[in-house]
Amino acid sequence: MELKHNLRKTGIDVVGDVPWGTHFCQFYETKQDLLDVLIPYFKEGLEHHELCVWVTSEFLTTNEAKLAMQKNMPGFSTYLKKGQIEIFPHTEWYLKGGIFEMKRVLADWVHKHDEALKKGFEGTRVSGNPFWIDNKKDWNDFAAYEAEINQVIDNYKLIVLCTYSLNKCSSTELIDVISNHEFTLIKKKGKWTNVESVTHSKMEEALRKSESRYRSHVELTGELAWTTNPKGEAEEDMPEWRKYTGQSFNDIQGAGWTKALHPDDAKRVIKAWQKAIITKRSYEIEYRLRRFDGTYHYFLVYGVPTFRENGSIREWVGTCIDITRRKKMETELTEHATQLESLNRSLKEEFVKEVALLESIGDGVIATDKKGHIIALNKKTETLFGWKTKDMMGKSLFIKGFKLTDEQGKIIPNSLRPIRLAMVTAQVGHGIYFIVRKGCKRIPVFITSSPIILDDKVVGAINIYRDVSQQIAIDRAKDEFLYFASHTLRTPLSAVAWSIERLNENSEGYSVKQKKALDIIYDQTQRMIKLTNDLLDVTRMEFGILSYKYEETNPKKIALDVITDLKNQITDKKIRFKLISNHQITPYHTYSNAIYIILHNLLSNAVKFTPPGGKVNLTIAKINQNLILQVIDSGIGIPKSAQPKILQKMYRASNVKNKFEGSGLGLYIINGIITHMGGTITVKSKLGRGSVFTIKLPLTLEAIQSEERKYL
Amino acid sequence: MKISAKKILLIEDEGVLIDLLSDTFVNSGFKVNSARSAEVGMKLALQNRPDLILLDLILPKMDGLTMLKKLRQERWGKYIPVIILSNLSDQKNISEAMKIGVYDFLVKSDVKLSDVVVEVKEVLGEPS
Repeated sequence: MELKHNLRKTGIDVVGDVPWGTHFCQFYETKQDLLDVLIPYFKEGLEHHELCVWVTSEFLTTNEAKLAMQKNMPGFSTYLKKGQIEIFPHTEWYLKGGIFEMKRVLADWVHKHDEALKKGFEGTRVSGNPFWIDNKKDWNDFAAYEAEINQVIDNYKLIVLCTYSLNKCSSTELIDVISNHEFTLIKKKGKWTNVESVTHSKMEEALRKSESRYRSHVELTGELAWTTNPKGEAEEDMPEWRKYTGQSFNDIQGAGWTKALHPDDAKRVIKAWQKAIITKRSYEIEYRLRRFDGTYHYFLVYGVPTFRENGSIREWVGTCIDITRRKKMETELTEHATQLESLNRSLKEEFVKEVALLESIGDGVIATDKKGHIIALNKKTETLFGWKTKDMMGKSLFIKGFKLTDEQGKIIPNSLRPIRLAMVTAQVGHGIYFIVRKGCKRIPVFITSSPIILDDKVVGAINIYRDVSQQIAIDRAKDEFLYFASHTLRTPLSAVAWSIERLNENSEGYSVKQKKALDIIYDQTQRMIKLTNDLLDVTRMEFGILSYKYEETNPKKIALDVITDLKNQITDKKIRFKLISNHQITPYHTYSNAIYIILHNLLSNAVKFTPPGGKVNLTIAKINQNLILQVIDSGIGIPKSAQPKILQKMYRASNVKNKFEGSGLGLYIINGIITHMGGTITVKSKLGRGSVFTIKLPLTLEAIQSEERKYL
Repeated sequence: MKISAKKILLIEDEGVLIDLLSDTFVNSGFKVNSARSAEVGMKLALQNRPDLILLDLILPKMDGLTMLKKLRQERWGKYIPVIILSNLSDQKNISEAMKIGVYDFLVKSDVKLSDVVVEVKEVLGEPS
């Protein structure tokens, strides 16, 4: 209604009525062409109480215009006098001041329009002719001016008709003119036509083209376009939707389209959709849509309302985008994230465990990177180096604070430290070194440096510092004791024994009693020497430092040596001694001194505990890769109750305790040696009848051989 | 005392043992020189060139094995027979001595004086 009220008559038949704010143009070839259009145009304006402004050009001058108007409109002069119509040349308007200035001209028009309204006119009707334009710049400026008019004209009660000379326009200029006006009047076969309809149909075609382009785009991207009425009900066809879901046109009508949603999603979608309709806000949601084959796919859906001029919703348009792939990737990402998180958690757990493990180690542990910088360490290192953990972290192990010395206090060069061996050769380096700290005694440490190897490359090292102060102190005490026992104790004993020997060399002057006393002193000295020797052996054995002599030896020869050593006792007691062996017994590699100690102990025991005139047999044999040493005597035997204990340290059976000399160390020592060699000792005995000791020693001492060879 | 008596150098820091050993060997017809330290022993050895050296291991300052090494570096001392007579009897010392080169390693408390004499005579080719 309002629109109609505002319509103005143009006076031009092919145009008819137009609203205020109309901007159109005419192409002319002759003066008559101009007058054909402009005379009825202004006549109509004057008759309908509008202010009329006609800017003329050289092509049709002001005078020519006035004359033509007067000729065709009887009351024209009155209108002119009244000032309802102004006719003046372009030099007084467009080119006022000599140049065309868009802003000024626009302002002048607005001023004219406002004045007209003030004077009580309905509005302003104008016409201008840019015939004066003769260069490209002015043309471009004028085209911009025309475009600007289009932008603002809706706000004014203005009707503008621009007249262009068809002969002066190039084809591109023609397009400029047409596109800058709502419609164009062109004379075709002597009749004026409004070319608006032509453009419009072209636009419609363009629109169809764009529509089909959009459709193919939709098909390519897998998007489904949709439209609904303002209430959210499907009315129009949605071909992509139907094609995808397999629903028919009838199926989708109304809320029918929601049937294709996943049942678990439908309720949520409908709720969101209703909310959008009520609030008139755009709508965005994800849901699963059933494809024609029954499988569900994830879609991201957008919808926006389009509004009518009165603010009511015309329709809803939107699109559904298949995001199944994206969704799948999202799921995979989430799974990966979960996996990473659990990995991270287990790593953290590992880390905590490692830290606990590190701290629980009694030795100092320092881990370094490949350059020797500390990357981890435990509390124990604090006490060793006298540094706080935080101060050590990140420091190089080669700086002064971590220097090592030898026993004499000489600094170990970096190139000889075990960590270097680990880093350079990827082998484990170790050795005893000393940590030097201000105001403290040097701490002896056994250092083990192991390379950390990743992908065949050394990336760091683990350094373990074992404080061996105590072991070293024990070692020293052990050495001191052994020195004391072997040298300090035995030297006076040797002096006594040798002195008696010298005395006995010339014993003719001694009485029987004196002689007997000398014998006793000598025997007791020998006994003392024997005890000291046992003590030495047992100490060495217990400390594991009994030195074994690994060499090629014939056990038969060792046996003969032992027999030679015991010859006096054997002869004195008239023991019938027998050595049984065969040609199988040949030299082989073993601990020669161990065999000696074993045979010496067993045979001296057998001789000691066998009454005069008794029998002692030594059998040497090889059975199944073992050397067998068997000593059989016809001695006093071992009580049954004592048999399990005779290998114990300082144990002495009741039947020998007070009758025979001894320390109770002999069998204890040889048992230790036999065990060390991987052999066994067994005893069979009958009280009063005799004993059988059987020793089994492996011919090859593989297990210990390599270990001990280095000492030899 | 024979004119051609063989010379023995005794290196031992224990006075009582020097007397006992020295008497025994003199009685057996040897000429005996003794030194209470390795340094003096070394000097006497190079001066008197004995036929045999009886060497203790534990001595003040320089020990017996160090002296033995030095002796073996001398042109004269390279092949002179040496018998270790000591109360240290651990395998380490025995092996070390054997490696440098000694005729035998005797443990004082385990041998009689007469055994030592017998062995010395054996080395020097004297009738026992």
